Amino acid sequence: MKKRLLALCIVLLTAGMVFAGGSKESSSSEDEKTVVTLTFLGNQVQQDFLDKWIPLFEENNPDIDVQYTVLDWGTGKTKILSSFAGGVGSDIVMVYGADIPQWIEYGALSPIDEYFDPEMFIEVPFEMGKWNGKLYAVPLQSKLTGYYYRADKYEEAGLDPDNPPSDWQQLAEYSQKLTKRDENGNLIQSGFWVTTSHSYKTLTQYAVFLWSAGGSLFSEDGTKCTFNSREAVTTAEYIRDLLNVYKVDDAGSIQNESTDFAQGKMVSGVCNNAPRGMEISNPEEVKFVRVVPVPPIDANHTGYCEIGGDYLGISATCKNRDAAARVLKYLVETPEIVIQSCIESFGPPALKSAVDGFRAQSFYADVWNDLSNGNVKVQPLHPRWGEIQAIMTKALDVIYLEPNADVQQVLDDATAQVDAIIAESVPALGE
Amino acid sequence: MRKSNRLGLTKSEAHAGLIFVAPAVILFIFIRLVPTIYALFLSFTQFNMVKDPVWVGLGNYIKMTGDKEFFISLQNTLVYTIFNVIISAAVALGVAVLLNRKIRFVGFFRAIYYMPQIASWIALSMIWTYLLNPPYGLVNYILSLFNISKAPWLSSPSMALPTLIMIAVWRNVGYDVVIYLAALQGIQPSLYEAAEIDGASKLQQFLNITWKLLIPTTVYIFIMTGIFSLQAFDQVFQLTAGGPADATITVVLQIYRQAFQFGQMGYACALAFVLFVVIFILSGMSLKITGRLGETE
Repeated sequence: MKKRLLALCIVLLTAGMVFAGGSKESSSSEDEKTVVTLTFLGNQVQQDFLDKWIPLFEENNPDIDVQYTVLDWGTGKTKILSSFAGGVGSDIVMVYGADIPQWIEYGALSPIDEYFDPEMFIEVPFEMGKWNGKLYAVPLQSKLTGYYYRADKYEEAGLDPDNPPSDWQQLAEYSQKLTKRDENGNLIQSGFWVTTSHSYKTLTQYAVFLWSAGGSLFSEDGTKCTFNSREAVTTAEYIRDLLNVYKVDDAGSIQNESTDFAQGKMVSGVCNNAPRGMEISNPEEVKFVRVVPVPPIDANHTGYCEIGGDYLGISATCKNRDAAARVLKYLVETPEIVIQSCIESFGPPALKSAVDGFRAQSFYADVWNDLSNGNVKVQPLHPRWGEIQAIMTKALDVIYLEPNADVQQVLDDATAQVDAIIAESVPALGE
Repeated sequence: MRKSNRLGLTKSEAHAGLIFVAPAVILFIFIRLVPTIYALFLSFTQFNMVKDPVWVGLGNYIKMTGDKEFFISLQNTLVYTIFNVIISAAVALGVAVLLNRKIRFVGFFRAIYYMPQIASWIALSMIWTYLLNPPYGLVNYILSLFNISKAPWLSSPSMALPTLIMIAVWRNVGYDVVIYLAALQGIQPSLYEAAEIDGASKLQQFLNITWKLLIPTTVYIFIMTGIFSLQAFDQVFQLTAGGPADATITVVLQIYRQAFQFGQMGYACALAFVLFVVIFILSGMSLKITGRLGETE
């Protein structure tokens, strides 16, 4: 009898261990509050941001309890998608702009048109939250990829920081002047960061140059990949030459552009968060940061910036959409919140009513005028963008790092692969 | 006492045994077996983790046969595994033979060689990223003192995989040394004494005694290092993320990309099962070889 009791105890204990982790946390019943869960991507800055603003929301909305989490950018996307797979996805999730169609394809986001007035937002970043005419996510802050440079290093090199390069030839010459090497040719200061082997920055840098040469990654209707066009070849060759002929950088020298920009290892580049580290480590040097659209290939073309950003959407599994929408509107439509988020993330706001306040506090003020004048584009949107990006990045790596590669052939191969993806899915949007 | 089965246990002893193994078995079933069977099922579906899986039969396995990326990743993984296994074992054997002698500070040296094993791959990879930075890393700085030009360790398609192998060898050697040392200390000194009396040179002693008696240990090391190498992920993800130009992409990294970056969980499960079969076959072959060697000995 004793043995049977012992056996029963062991089995129950084991079953308890197995199933304990699986029980879903019951929603709060305290005071009949509606629980809204929110998952952000970021770091301690975003945690502090939410710690500041969410309690204020709860104070003014006592019927809603917001439970928030901040996941790091590196693994956050994976964790959010896994949480949906496990049926415990958040009501509101942060998603990077280029990922929106993929998440919609997954069935992770639900339309939110009814809650937002497009007139409140700047058109280009707002449109990026749409897919097939429906709004799925709204921008909290944008991320601007442009030509960043340090005015102090320009002066050191005898260049005028108020006159950045006006075309590609000048950009190459300026970058050469900004590059420092020792007597053995070892790099001391990268004059221009040529982005290689990065999961998305390699392609973003390339795309902005391509637009500034009059090209695009896709045809206007999105049904054909134009990654092998004449402009595409010229662009790839130009960036390859920056690395291998003008020798303005060594591949792989820049590991973290924000830290390296702050330390002066890299003094210019086409990227999106170069000044971030400077704000933390040498805030007094932020005044040296300048950002302008990427110079055009020649005087007959226009230079561009790329805009992406951090978006918030309501998940398809959300049970309390109206409550979630109230939280979402509070975060993306309150100018003070948007301004703080933009300043901390070094990106311009998409909320029109936040623009003036942001201008007063950020060095982005000048370039923001250019954006308003239409010098900004978004990367193409496609539900399988991750795959397309990987194919294009690989091709660019081959071209940049193997200087003898046949550029046209490499781009033709990549284009064929991308066209195959489009043929079995849907056309790309955007650009 | 009435014995109830071929193990010679009584009924109550057998029941008690079952009760004691039950927790482990139940945990194994729920944490290992059920997910594995579910993953096998998913490998026959199209599944993006949010929508319900859609049955595609052998579609994912057929797709694999035309997937260039998969074959590149398989080739990289095999190259990484073969070189890592062989070089690690060879270096470890040399170090173990040296450390098996009566030298000063032997404990210190043993600890030093084992240290990389203790640290996580992620932490080690971050350190190596900085050490190998082309213009600013310590490794290239030291090389430059000897007028050796700086190398693009991780940023050149031709150098990245050998560099990953070098780092893996550096980490594995400590583990292999410990195993070899244990085996070396199990060899009877009288064998060497007898060989010396017979006039055998040091090299002959090593080849005919040490090496022969270490073959089962070497096979064990090959199997273990081989299995770990075939599953290489953390170090590759952190150091190169599969680049440049897919020069270092491994099968597990490809599985990760398909599942979590491209939303092809069904296809990723199919890749995982192929890797499982490869590891299963290689392990089986190795065990068979070990068995044969054991019989020969």
